[in-house]
Amino acid sequence: MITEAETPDDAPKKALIYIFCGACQAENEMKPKDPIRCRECGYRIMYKKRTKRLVVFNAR
Amino acid sequence: MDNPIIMNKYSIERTLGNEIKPYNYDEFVKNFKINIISRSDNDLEFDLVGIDVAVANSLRRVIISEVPSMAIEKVHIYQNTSYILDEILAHRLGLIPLKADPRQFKMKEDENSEPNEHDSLVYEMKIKCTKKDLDALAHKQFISFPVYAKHIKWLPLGNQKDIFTEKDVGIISDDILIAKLRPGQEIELKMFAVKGIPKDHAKFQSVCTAWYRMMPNIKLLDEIKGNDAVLLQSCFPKGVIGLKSVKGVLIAFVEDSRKDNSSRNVFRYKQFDNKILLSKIQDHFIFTIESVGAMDPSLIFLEALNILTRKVNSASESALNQTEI
Amino acid sequence: MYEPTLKNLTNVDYGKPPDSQNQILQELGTPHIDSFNYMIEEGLNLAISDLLPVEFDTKGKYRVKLTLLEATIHQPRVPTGSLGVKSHSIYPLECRQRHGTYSGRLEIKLSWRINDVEQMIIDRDIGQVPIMLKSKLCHLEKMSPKQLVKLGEHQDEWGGYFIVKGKERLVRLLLGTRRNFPTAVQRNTWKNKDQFFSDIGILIRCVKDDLTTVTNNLHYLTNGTAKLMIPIKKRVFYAPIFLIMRCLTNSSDEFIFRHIIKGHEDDLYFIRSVMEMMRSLHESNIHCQEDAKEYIGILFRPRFYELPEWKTNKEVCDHMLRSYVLIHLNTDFDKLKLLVFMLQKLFSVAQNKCLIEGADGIMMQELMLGGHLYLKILKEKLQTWLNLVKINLLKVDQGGQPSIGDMMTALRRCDLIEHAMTNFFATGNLNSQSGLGMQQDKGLTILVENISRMRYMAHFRAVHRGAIFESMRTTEPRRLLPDAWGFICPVHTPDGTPCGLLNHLTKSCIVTKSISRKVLRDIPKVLVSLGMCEASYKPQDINIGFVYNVILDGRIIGYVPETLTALFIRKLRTLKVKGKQIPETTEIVWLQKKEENILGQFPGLFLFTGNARMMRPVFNLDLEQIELIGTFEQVYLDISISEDEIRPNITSYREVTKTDFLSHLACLIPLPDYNQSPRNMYQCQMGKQTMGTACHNWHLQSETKLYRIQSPASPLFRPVHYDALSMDDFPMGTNAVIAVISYTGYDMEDAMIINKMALDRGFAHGSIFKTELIETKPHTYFMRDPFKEDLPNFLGVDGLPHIGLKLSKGTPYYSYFDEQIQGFIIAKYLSNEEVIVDSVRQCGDFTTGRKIPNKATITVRVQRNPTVGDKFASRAGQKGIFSKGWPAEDLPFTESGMVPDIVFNPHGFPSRMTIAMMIECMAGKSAAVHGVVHDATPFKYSEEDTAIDFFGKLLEAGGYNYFGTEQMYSGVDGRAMKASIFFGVVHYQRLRHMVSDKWQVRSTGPVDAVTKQPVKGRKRGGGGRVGEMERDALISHGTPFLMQDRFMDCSDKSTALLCLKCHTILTSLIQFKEDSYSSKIAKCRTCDSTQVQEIGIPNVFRYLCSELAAINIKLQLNIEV
Repeated sequence: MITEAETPDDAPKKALIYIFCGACQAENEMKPKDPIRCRECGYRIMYKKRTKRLVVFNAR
Repeated sequence: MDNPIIMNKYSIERTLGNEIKPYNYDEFVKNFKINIISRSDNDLEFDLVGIDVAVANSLRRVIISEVPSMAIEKVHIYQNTSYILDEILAHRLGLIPLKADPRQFKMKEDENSEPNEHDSLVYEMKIKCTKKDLDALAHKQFISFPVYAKHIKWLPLGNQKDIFTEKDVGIISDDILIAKLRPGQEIELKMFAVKGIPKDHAKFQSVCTAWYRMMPNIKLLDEIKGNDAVLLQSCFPKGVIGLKSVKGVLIAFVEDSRKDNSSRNVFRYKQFDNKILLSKIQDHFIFTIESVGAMDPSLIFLEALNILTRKVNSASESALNQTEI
Repeated sequence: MYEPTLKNLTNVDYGKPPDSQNQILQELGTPHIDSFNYMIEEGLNLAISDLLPVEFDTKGKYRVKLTLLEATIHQPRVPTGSLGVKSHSIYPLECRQRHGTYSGRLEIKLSWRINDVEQMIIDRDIGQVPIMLKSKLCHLEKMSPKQLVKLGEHQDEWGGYFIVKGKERLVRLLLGTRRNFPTAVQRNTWKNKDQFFSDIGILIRCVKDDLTTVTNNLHYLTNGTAKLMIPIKKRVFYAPIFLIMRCLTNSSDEFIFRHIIKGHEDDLYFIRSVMEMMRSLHESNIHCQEDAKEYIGILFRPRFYELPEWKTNKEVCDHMLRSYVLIHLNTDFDKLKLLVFMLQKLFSVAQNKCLIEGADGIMMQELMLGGHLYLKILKEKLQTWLNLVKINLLKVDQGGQPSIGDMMTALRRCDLIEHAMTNFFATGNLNSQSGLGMQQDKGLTILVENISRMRYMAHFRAVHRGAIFESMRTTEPRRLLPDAWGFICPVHTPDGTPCGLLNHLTKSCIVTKSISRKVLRDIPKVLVSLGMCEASYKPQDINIGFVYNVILDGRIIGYVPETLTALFIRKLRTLKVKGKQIPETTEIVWLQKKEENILGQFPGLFLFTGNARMMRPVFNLDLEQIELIGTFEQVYLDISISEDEIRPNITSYREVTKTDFLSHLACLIPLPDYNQSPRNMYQCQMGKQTMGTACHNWHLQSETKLYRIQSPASPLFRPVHYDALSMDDFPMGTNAVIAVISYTGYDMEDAMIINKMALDRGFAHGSIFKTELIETKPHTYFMRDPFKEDLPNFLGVDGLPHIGLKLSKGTPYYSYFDEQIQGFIIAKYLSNEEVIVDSVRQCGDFTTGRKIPNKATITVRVQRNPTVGDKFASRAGQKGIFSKGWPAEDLPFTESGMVPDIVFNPHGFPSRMTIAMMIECMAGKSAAVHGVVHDATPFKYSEEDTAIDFFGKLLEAGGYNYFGTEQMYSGVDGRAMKASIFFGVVHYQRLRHMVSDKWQVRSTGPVDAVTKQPVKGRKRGGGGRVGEMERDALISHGTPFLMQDRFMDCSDKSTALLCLKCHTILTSLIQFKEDSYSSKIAKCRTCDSTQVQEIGIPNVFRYLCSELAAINIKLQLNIEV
């Protein structure tokens, strides 16, 4: 379960998280460890955006 | 036919049974008839006369469950931010009827093989709703943007481009509602259609339904006149019983038994006891085929005949093989 | 008359929020909200002023007095000083999603005095307390549907519940004894209280305006005396009635005596008893008020440790009388008058001159409401908090005069009452010293499950009789008594343990709210103007003839002479209906004196204006207006159900509608009057288990579990109430074409076959949404482990799963970094079922130290299309199990080519007699043919105008058979069927019980540590028990090998070594032979014998042997080898 890592700060920092606000729908970019707070309205619940990924379904 | 089914108030009486005639090919050929009653693009009604109920039913069953057609089987969803869930969207897409003629395709042998031009059709849908799209809608009361079948695009595989046009293999109707989008929502997906039979899944059905009924035969055993005649007329669908005026008295006569739908409401009235005989002709089938639209109903019937013949052949072959051993 | 309609669905504006909310739905929340609003507006400050000031001496002999002056609850808001926040309000949606509590600050004003010198008043927050939705403190209170929808709520949100830790919790409506009415009760347990106690008593539940409750019983003793029960802090005391009366007045014995026996002058036994009681008080050397108070003060002082030691005995007695005896009355004189009345009633009941009333009838009951309970708890917590301040102040006390600094330190050390309040709502457990006059301290709040609209609605109208009755063996409280008519639905109660105890209010029943204080104060004046004489106990009162005491909310305010009473009441009713001077919600109960030899209730004229009573509207025939009547009032009124039942000069009221006695859910059953009654009860239960449209804001929901049906339809046959409740907004079933025919054999015993092609096309498809709150430890935050290469396939950079990802057992679920161990932790998805990630929310918080993201809710959905074993039901209590998806070509078809969706076995009808389902079958078909909806309101059809004929004619007009049957052809052989088949359209519901949640299978698996037998429980992979009855069946079948297999081989088979010499299995061991280390031998350790036999036994048997050995019992086995 636990993997060794130096510190997460060594990890590539450019990775951004795209989320949108539950109240004003504004898109926010954040880094891991950033507090969850909408930059536009200060709302506390942020939704994860759906990214383009392939999912296969049977049409039945 | 000498052996009709007699209809009583709550049940029927078969007069057949103890006198099954031996099968005679020449007689069958002599008696067998197909009369086409009406046909349109998608509907076909015809009479099948002089045939055993088992054969008529076999045809019905084959049409419903074994005549193949094309339908979307796999959906690759890349993006779907609409309110409709992925799996529901896929299911809906699967049920959309396609125009493609199944006879021009082969059954896919291995479910997981790569789709190719002989066994598959590929479609694509990419749509994103913007505020502008919504405002541009004719119906101002819409609060969401409707996604219709016309937003689905066919992607030719291999040499399909040369053989088919979008018209040949597209969706049957442009205005099948698939989903509704709010501004900012988008759907992006690819669909893979294959050939299959309805037994496997209802989406492969090439007919809405196909069925038969036995030809009704109504006989008046006694003269019915006056108010009773009017009442009698009202017990049947329009056009079954006619009224004629003889010396100022209305007299009922059977106009067209065919239009009767076996509602038997006539038995509710005492005054008609023993005055009317409802029966069905056992070897006269009124057959209806309602096509979904990909194939002409008469072609579906022929296809069914082919399948049935193949089945009979393989059955007789295996029977012969059995006896040889 | 209203007719059901499809208009709401075909309306072009369908889906747009209307201008106003649905009034009927709003009323679901009204009782709860009214009670909460009462607390905020009046109750809380009444309670505060009723709190006992805390007085004490410090070490330095400074006398400190703490008093609460005021308490205010604020609206839910973000803490002051939060930066960058646009809206300072916290809305319910956020609390739901974050699994937080919708709460507001509780602010108090504390006054403190040192040596009677007022110090600076302290304002302080003492925690966040839960706030009821749509109450005066809720942001949603006055919002329009449009605003509500904008905030992610439903347009018809009716509130009335709390959001605690993300869950909707509702305080259960509890039935309790009617307040401030002396009820004559017979209880066998009372006999065992003490010597001479009889089973008869007068019970009075006294409730003050701040809802503080104390129950006093006046017991009849077989020696002709009476004792008053006084409960103090969960202990009870019995005081002679005249001791208490003596404390209350200093009038002469004769004065008291004359008033007691007034109207009972010919009752010699009563007179003798009263005289005897008075005499015995003098024998105890208590002659005047002073003596009595001193006596009681000495007796009770040790019980009241909260009173400072410098209070005199008299003050102690006054405190006792004020807080524990008839507390709803404020003056001693009022208390005395009521005690006199109770004593008269008691002796009348004891001598069998009037009837026992009993506490089980709804007429003697009222409700306990959420806001009221909230107030009671809060009051107690505030008192505790005040005592806590004292304790903490004494702790910091150094001997000098307490400074403001000392006070602040003490206050800081006091616990906030936030935790206690939240905990109560989250668990429903009451943690109280006094018990608050409640009969139960568990299960007071319930989770408002939103399985379907019906379930959700029903929670708000459910009333419970009390948990203690559930374990009682008598069925008395479960009975449906006649006085429940119109208030409690006779149909809507579950079967099994809670049957008759968990009931539902009828759709017309309302719960009274408090009336304005000013109107209440003026009522006695109004009554006097109508002809009432004030009760002043003047000597001249004694000489007039029989009078009716007028008792307003438990206070005797006057009397009306017998002859004038009828007129008095008529005038009173007129004023009541007008509703100005006498509130509309007044209950007027005239208990008339009966003629000789006829027993009735003890006479009196009772007026009730208090809150929490049940009332309902009926039509007053005299005044030709709607009047509200109460449960007690109704018993003495003549109400006809229909116009033709009215008997001149007797009937004075008429029901507003014929269905007023049904609950909302019972009213949604189509034609319940055509069903056998238990079927309607079943349907009420099944409606609540239906998978339907629970909500509209699926993407915003974070409920633990939600069911959803995919393509629901509006029923074609429905009562008007369906439209009244806007059920079309939350549809929950499918219109299925059914053929009533015994077809394949797969439809035996309530199984039903469904057309496979219908299933393929989406018949009853559904899904389940599950939400999990993931909160990792502090000092951790969500992040994807960057060193795992395949992780991006599952998780985003934020360490949470992609949306749309299919999860199965073992798939990475989320990943976070732990700062303490400096490493990543990846959690795997554990459930066995394959799910799809629906939405992922990260939740921020205001609490400090939680700045880094470690809280998220993940919603997943499971596709649940019908599979064999799933449960379906029509709306007539006809449930069935889906047994096989039948190919369409094999199903029978009609003349017009129709194939049924569902094949229903005709054997389901004869024994269950669900005629309504047959009618629905015809009506549904007719509705489908003619393109309309048909009315299924109860009592619409009668013997003269039958439903069958109505729909039969419609079917005939549509070209179908009058009886709803059709000629069908077998799908298998194609021949016409001999019988005509009943064929039509019925609205079917899919119930939430699904095999996927219930299947259980095991070959081998975990076993119990002690017995080595398979464990039980589906979750743990255990087995199904083959129990004693199953064992009996196997024995009687003569199948020993199967028994051997089940009870031995598949259970806890083991081998044991039996010593043939000492006959026990506990002593033998396998050892190495003494001389060699290669071969082994079994040997008994006690008798050294090697005659040891290996036998097969169940492992529990060995366990039994050792357990017996431990208590010195040796178990010997004699076997034949």
